[in-house]
Amino acid sequence: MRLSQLAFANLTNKPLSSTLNVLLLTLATASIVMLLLLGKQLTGSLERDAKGIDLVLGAKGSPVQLVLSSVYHADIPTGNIALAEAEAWSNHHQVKAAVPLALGDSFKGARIVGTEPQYMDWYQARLAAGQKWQAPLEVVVGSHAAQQAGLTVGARFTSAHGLSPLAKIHDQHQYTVVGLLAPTGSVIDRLILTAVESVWIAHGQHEEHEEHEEHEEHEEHEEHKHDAREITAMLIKYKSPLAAVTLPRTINAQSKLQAAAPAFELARLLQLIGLGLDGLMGLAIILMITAGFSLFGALYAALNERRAELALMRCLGATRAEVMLVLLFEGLLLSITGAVLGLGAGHVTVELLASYLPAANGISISGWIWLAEEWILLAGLALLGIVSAALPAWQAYRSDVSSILSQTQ
Amino acid sequence: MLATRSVTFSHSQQRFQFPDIDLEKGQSCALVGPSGSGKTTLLHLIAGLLTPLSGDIQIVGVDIARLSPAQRDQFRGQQMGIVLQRLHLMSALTVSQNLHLAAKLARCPIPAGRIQQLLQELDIADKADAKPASLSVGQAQRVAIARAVIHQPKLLLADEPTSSLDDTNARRVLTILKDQAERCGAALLVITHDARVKGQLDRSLTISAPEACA
Repeated sequence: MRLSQLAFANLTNKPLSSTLNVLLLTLATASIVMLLLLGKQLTGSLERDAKGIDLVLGAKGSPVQLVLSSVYHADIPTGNIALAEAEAWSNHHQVKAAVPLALGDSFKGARIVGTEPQYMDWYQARLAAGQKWQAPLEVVVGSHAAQQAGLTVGARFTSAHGLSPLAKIHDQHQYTVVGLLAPTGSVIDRLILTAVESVWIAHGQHEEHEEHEEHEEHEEHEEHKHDAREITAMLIKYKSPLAAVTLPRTINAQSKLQAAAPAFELARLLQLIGLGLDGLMGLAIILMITAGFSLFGALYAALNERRAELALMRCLGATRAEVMLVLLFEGLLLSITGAVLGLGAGHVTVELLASYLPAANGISISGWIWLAEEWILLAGLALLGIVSAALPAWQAYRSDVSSILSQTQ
Repeated sequence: MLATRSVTFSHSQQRFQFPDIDLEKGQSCALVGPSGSGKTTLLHLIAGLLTPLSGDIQIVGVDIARLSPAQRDQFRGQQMGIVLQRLHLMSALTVSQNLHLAAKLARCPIPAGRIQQLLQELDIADKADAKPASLSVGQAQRVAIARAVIHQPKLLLADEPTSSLDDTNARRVLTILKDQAERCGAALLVITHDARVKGQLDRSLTISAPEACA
């Protein structure tokens, strides 16, 4: 019969109170773990996707929208720009590398991106099967897109115009899958990559088609009217960080194009998300403090009920320290149990969330990662258990055995 | 085994003057006195739960006033068994766990089978896995006695063990106490206001009411 066993027996002897306290601690811990996991992976994933892209050129409009659409492939594009105009800037002496992006079509929800093979290198994407595209209408498919759309090497499909899964089908041209990419954990997993020309071919056809079919999609029609040699955006890497000081300003002032820096727009975006996460974290911490008070209340009530039992332990030869230890053990057992259950519940919930919200939002989230912060959380909960038990334990330490035993006679 | 000399104690304007007690191994003694005469106080003094104002208390040759508080707790656990008027069994533990805990707190390793044997001697072997709440008063008292002697103490103290019992059961409990003290080779001191106890023990001492302090 160890003292920890006595503490355990005392807790299981009051199943309702113990369960409620563990439940409260579990909920508070799980909330904090979920927020930590989601917040970390959200910002981590956003930062990873924008890494190495210094500047985005696109049509005038909202800079956040431009970055979202061309870096994260999450929003609709701001419009198209003339290839010639964009290329003029990509030959600028401060630009190290540039890749064009031509958007507009999709297949089963995966965006078809007309670009150059270099784009894959920017994300360190390797081919898992097949080869890179050699001719227009050949595509390389990202791992998640391949899984989602059921595409394998050699498969043929017709794209849909627009970026939503319900968009209208282009039936004149068939794409052929020539390669599959290994998973990278970045945005490229969700894309279907092809040559820029493929998009032009699909859209050249589309325009003729539209002409026969009246003005249903008037706006789209207008976009492509004058020149087929248009792209949606141009991603740029600088030669030196100094370019960041002048180049975006020059482009924005001297051309019809808009230049947006992903790092800057991301920081603005994260600040907004951060405000939301901080607020939720505040609530979770209030929940944790409430759990601490409840724990204290339960331990204090238990002390008052068991005062005589604790005095009796002293009669049996227990020292003051041993009596105090029993109460500290009780606090620790409750808080550690809550912490362990909460960590488990938090991870499982995040994993379930991740599987129910598939890459629609474009961010790969897993419940099966362990953050350094969770060790701190675990230590914090152990401390919470000890602090909650400290006052009852101290009272038990100081209690006058003789007077307690006389009172009850 | 137990020797007290001119022990006095003062509490809330009352001054207690206790008679000297000398108790050898295997002897039993009843300490009789009216309510408020300080019987329980004397028991707490002997157990080292209170410190006397003056006088000596020696148990197996050790002056308990000279021990540190933690040493005194351990000494009490090892050398004494105490049966309180209110029994205070650990409500969360089974009968046999209560006895295990007592042995552990007394820091006395007990041989395997000791608990079962003791419960058999006290006729409650079938209650080993029962929680205290399911025991009758008589059974609970026998568990409390078992708990007091589990580690074979040198001095067995009992506070009003017969106060709520009828004649038959009172005689039975005293027999058990004497029997267990004998098996352990312990001295037995029973504190009581119950006149029935006197005749059953080797001798008796009377405590008189305290004087008021000046």
